[in-house]
Amino acid sequence: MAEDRDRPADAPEADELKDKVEELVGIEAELTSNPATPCAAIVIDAEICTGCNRCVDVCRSDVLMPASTKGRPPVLVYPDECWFCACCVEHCPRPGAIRMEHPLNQRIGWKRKDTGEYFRIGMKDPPPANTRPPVGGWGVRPRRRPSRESSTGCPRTEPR
Amino acid sequence: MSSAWPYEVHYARERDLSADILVVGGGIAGCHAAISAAKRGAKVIVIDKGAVIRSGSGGAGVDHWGGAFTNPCSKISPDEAISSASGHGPMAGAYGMKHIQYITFRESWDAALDMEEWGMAIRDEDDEFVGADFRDEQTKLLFAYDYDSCTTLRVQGADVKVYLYREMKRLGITILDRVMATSLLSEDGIPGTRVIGATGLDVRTGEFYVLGAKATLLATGQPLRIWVFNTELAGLYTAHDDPNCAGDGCAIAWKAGAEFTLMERSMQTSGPLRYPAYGTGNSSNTWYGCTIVDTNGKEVPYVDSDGNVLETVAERFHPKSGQGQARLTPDLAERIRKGEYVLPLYADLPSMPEHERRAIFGLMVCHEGKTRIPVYKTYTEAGFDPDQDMLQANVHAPEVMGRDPVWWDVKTPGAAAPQWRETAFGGGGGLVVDWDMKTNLDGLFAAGNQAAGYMGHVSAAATGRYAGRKMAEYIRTAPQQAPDRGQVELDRARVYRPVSAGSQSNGGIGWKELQAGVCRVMQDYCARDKSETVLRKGLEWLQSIRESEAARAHARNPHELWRTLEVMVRMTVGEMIMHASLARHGSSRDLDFWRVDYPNEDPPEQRKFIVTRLDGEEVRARELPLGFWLQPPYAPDYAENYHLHSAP
Repeated sequence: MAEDRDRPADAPEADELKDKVEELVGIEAELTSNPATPCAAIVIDAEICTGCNRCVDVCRSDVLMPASTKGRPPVLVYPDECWFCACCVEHCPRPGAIRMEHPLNQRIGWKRKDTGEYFRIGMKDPPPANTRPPVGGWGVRPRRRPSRESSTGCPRTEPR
Repeated sequence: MSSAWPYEVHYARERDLSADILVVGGGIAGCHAAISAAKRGAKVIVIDKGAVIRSGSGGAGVDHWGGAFTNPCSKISPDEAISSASGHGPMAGAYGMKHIQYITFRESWDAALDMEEWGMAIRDEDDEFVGADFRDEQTKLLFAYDYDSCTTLRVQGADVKVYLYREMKRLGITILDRVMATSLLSEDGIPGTRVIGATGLDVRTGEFYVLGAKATLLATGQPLRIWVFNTELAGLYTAHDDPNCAGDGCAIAWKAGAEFTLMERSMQTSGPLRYPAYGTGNSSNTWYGCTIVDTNGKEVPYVDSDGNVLETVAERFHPKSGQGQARLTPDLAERIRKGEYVLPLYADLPSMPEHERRAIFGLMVCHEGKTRIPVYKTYTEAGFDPDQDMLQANVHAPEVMGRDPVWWDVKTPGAAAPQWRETAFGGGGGLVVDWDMKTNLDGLFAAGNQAAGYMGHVSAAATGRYAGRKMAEYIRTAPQQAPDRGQVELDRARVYRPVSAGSQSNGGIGWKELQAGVCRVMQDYCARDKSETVLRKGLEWLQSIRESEAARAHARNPHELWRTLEVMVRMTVGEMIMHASLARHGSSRDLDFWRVDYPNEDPPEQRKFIVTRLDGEEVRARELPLGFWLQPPYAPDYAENYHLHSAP
């Protein structure tokens, strides 16, 4: 199709592209192992995190380790041992400091029934967030007063 | 990455503690046990490899609380349930341990009331579901699956472990996080005798624990990832249960001479093909009853157990007498292949009645394990809105589309490799326990998934609280004995060997490679189709690896030491599975157990439990009849045994 060969109106100028590529001059190559396996489901925002290590304390698998400097974000040392339970996210006292991001091969899609639009986790320009809290809200509830027959741990009810 | 280890390391430094009761594994069973024993005045220590505030398979949440046959709305009593066909429950099958099941049925509701006292909402306290088909207006209880019999509660348990942990702290229970049990201590150091405590490793500091107790509870999980250990394809979605469940409890109890059964039972697994748990559109478990449509909006029918199409949504939740849960029409795959349904399929939440929609996505998905943040928060922040959106079902194979197995336990030929197996989900192998939840060894009890033949969150809670009472009773007359130094030193030397073993450059081997090799042996020599000669070859391989590569396994820090010891655990569990498989001379559909040299399927003479134990170097096998729990020395009916044993 002829149109496809036409230059789109909003395409950057050749000079711009050239400048961009030439920025690479002087960047050094690193000798390093391959990127992490697709299991790193935890992302820490160093700007928000205060390094309290609450996430480190609740992780069942010790995938996170405290930073060597106090107050710095913990380090994701063993992402391949993550169960993706996100208890670390739940216990974080600073919203947004640690969040869960499913690895790419775990991202699910959905269809908006009325419009037929298709969305997926991780897409560019996602739809607005749905802010409805879950049943019972997000918080932990207080202990209640023992209100029933006993608090001794005995069986409390007789079967009918 | 190479940095200093963040924790102070003291390899082999010994810490000695003792208590009345030692609980190994601070998951659901261990926590309930510790609390019920502590309330009776026992001094309790709980050890856990992870952090008790969240650890264990139930540590990421619970949303449906089954077996609540004594709740005020239940139309079925525990005795009716245990004697009816459906009383077998989904978690047990023909080889289910029905005494454990009965204990669960008797105490499930009580455990729910305990949880309510400790903070978990088990009712619709916020009146969000007033008028819902599944709400009892007087008690505000919400029910799942079957709105007539009312035996499964919908609960808000995303933080269930936080509540348990808080209660344990309040009762002054000693909690040792990050301690992995590495052996059980026996009287005078002789395996096969009374268990008098355990040894353990601090997986952060490398310290060694020697823990003495009058009674020890194994509340460890079922062994996992014995055949498939893959961290590449889907991370640890590979493991439905806590991936740290290597089988520590099995391995240490085996070496201590405890009796096991059903270890030969396994199942095919989707392993690394999984999607986020409860995070794809489907029609069962947390998504039970959700309408499934094809890409053109054409609805897939639900049918009852007899295959009759159910016309309304309400019928899915009101089964006629004798009918179990509804399901998608079983010929769906065929009809997809014929073009009758066009892929992909979607879970049509917007078409569901409002209360059902909110119960599925908002209550169940949010409080069930690994759904609060991974599904509810992640999906809604990305814009998913159950009022407008239909979540896509997986697109694996027509046989599993719209059903739950892809995130659970694919058993569909072609959807997973035949050599990819896993210990059975429901009624798998473990310790043989009696009506006291006690094993064949004095001083050793088991609860939750560690006991053979039954499983699940509610069973863990119920058997845990029951075992806690039994142990509190037991310790009144049991002696406290000092550990045998020889036995302690033997385990300490074994535990730290990988720290001093060679590095990779001089012939050593890292834990991941060792684990991959052990899995390969299981896949090759203990796959679906087993035989005497191949199983024996597998045992030979494991023994050979133990002497060679495993002896050179090296650990560069306490964390790697933990993982290396888990591989050793899986080797022992692999041997236990092979020995149990050798001892069963028949094939069984119920056990998904197949011997090419004994092809007869479920011959009557093989309908029994095969019990194995280690006696010195020898593996002994004996038989127990199905239903041994109602035969002498026990009473002939469930209620009577419960009355005699339950220690109220």
